[in-house]
Amino acid sequence: MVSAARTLAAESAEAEAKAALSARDPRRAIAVLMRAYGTELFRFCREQLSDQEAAQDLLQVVFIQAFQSLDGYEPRSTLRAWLYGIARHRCLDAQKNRRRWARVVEPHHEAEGEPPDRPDAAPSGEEHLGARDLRAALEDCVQRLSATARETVLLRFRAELAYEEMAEACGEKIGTLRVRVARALPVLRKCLEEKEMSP
Amino acid sequence: MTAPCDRYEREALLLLEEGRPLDEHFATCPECLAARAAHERLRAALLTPIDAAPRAGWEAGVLSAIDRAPARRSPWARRAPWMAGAMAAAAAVSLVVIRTRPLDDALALDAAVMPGDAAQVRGAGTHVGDLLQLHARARGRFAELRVYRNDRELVMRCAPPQSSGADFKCTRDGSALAGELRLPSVGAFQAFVAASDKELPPPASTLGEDTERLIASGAKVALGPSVRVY
Repeated sequence: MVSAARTLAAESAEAEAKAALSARDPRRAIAVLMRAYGTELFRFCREQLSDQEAAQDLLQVVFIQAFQSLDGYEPRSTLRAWLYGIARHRCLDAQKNRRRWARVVEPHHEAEGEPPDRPDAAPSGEEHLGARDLRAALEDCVQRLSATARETVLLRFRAELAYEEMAEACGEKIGTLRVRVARALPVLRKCLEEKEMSP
Repeated sequence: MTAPCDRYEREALLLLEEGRPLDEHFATCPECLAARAAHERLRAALLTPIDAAPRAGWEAGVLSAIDRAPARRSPWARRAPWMAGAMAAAAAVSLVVIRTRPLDDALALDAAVMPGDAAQVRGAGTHVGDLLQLHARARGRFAELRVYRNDRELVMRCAPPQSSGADFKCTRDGSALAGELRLPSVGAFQAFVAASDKELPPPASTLGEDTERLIASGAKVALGPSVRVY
């Protein structure tokens, strides 16, 4: 499932970062990890939060925390999965803060499951629907999932993590994650159909 | 009229995620075949990354922060005891800055935590005695900075000209408000800034009720990040 190019790039980055750690050069390890995984972690945060600026800020926080925690990294899994675990926690914190914000300052905005700047919905089925429209519609449907379902789908498909890696990143049982994915997919399919966008 | 078969979504999706084979039904049932095709297209779409990338040069910001504040988490240095002094000095100037989302140009709140004891090498996180620094922009005749502990206990109220308390001090210069609170205990500390051209209702209850009263009075409120003290 994981693309060959991504696998090769990840293996190379993992080896280079681990070599830097062995040489007690965590700064170089972080530089390698940023280069290898920065963009995909940004996309993960962007889809989790539906907020470009917040994702940008969070990306930096993730790698600063990773640097601070590198000594605690245990090679049970890949550095990539470990980074996703950090990003996931920071996204959850940001979501909690946003809910708190919405509850106190924007009382008419129900934050739960309703991100504030969701991407534009796709045009109607009467218009020409290209791949770009499908991507936009799918992004919107992913935003409509519950927070836990969205996170699981993103880790499974966008990040292409193995279930073992997802379990480590999320602190959940593999079986729970499998069920979550299997339940989320029909929700996404129906959402696309409602937009007259058959996948 | 029979209902369409939905076994693919009820059963096959989970079997596939478990890496188990599908039985013959799924190869012969027209509805399941159609569902399978739809889900394969959905998977392909999900595997396509979104079109988004971080700002160019963001890595330099991370490396700069790492270089500026290596002592917030220090096991690397703990392995080299001679670095402890340098780490303590760095801790004295290290900041964790969290920017809130501004409501508009007229109201915004930034918060920073300054380690309270620079000579002590400690783990990451915020501790009793650390200094919570607040910088707000608030346009309005009346403006206040407040901090609540655990959403219930008011621990700081800066309504200049009243500008100091046992653990805090504040100033206002035009639309700029600044406050400092020595974090007095463990718990979750929540700051906000409120501004209005009318007099602000005084604190009376919990964070939630007080902010609701402020908003009901016509004031604007900007909530800061929650700071957890361990």
